[in-house]
Amino acid sequence: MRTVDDIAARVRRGEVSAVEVATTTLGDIVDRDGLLCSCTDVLEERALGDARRVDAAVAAGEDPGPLAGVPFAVKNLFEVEGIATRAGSRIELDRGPARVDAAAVARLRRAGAVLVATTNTDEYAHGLTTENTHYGTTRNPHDPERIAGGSSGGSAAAVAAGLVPFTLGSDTNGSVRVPASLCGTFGLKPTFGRVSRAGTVPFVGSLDHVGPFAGTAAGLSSVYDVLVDGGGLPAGAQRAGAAAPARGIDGLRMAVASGHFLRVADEDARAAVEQVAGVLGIDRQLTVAGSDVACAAAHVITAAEGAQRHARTLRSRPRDFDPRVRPGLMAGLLLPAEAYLDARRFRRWYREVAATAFADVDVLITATTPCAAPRIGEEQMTVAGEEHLVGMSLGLLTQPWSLVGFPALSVPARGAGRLPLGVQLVAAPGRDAVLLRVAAALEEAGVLATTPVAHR
Amino acid sequence: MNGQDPTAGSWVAAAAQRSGIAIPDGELHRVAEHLVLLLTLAATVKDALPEPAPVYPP
Repeated sequence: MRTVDDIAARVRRGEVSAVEVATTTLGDIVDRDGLLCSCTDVLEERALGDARRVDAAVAAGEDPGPLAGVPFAVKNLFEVEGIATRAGSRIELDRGPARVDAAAVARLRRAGAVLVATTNTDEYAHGLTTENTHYGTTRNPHDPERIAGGSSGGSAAAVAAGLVPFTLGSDTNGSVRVPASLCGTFGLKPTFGRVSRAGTVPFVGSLDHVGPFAGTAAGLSSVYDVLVDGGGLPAGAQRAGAAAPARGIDGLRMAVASGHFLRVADEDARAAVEQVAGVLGIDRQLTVAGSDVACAAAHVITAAEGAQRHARTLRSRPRDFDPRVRPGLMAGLLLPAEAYLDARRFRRWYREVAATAFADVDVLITATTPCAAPRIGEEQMTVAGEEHLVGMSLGLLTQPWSLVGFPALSVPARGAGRLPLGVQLVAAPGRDAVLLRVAAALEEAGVLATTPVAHR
Repeated sequence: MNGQDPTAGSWVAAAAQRSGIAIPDGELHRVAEHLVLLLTLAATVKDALPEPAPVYPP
């Protein structure tokens, strides 16, 4: 599989047709996704129809769009016209086929991209492992005995396996960045509200973000531009993402996040951070107070809001929920209001603390996950000598930033072993483009591990 | 209180019943474990909260 920008350029120049690209991609998914279980619906008819429209535009000399003919897949909680939106659940299928595409999907389609598949997730995005009782466990392309991470694990694995050059996921506590880290792809959680969630199945209203995965930093930037460009830019204006590589990183103030962020990272994860920090010339550490408690607050808010979203069906048809998810949702329904209100109050305080930290730096870097991918079915993992629950702990480094809505991007660092490990870049709200600049610089420096895995 | 504690299980079962939630057979302990964990996290958050402002912020 080639990259986003390579495919778009070749289709736009007429060197390859969008139909040829789509046909090859669809065949690849059918041939190679069986064991991985990254995709849940293959959209052959729609994909070939969209590809024909792109080819017709090219043949007519019209602009086919910046993502002309680029195949992509979306987490199956995005509405896709004509198919039922699973959201990893059996219950959602009763709603029947969606009438229109989710806003982000529609935007990508207008830019010429070709949707070929939907991807697997934990039920209702409630998890960080993509072990789904209804639709199977998504396996890590680097080692099929290990998890891909979640909840957007199907989207990460599809990119890591080279099935598609980019995908969309959603991130509530780390559900883009965690699987990006474990699968070795780029994954961006934009600033809260920057990318439309319209037409996606909610998990936690005050924490849900939509974000892309890609195999290259340049591809991530190109997709981001399409997702956020609301037509507000003047004609010919250089977009935020496209400008990223050219602008470089000179003058950016960067630091390694210390305290909580080093304490819960294992030796390999800390080594990955050190390596990236060395390439970026970072010689400074900065502590953001309260980051450990931010994780606790995120768990409480997630439990309370997530449970309320499903209160009616938890009462009327509890047995139709995934038994991996149901106990947590039921516990959330029993949580006192005081706990939720305290967590929201803490979030306001922590947002001020984090904003103050970013007055002094442009980018903070941390590990994305405490460790590399755990084995499928493991419930406990050891980090820095302490036992942790896998489902609770993979997000310890990502949760603080989604709690306050700051943009964060995971780049695929080279882990000490054969498994990938992400390094997380974080900026102040609205400064997503700065992260894309740093990711592009790291990619150019050749320190990242981005080769897709040819898993069969 | 923990998920294996029959007292905790009874409390959760009663709370669930009052809330109209039918916990499937064999899952009571897991719901209780989740709830205990959440209450522990909530206590951590409460301990870390700054004093409330005496008046509404401007």
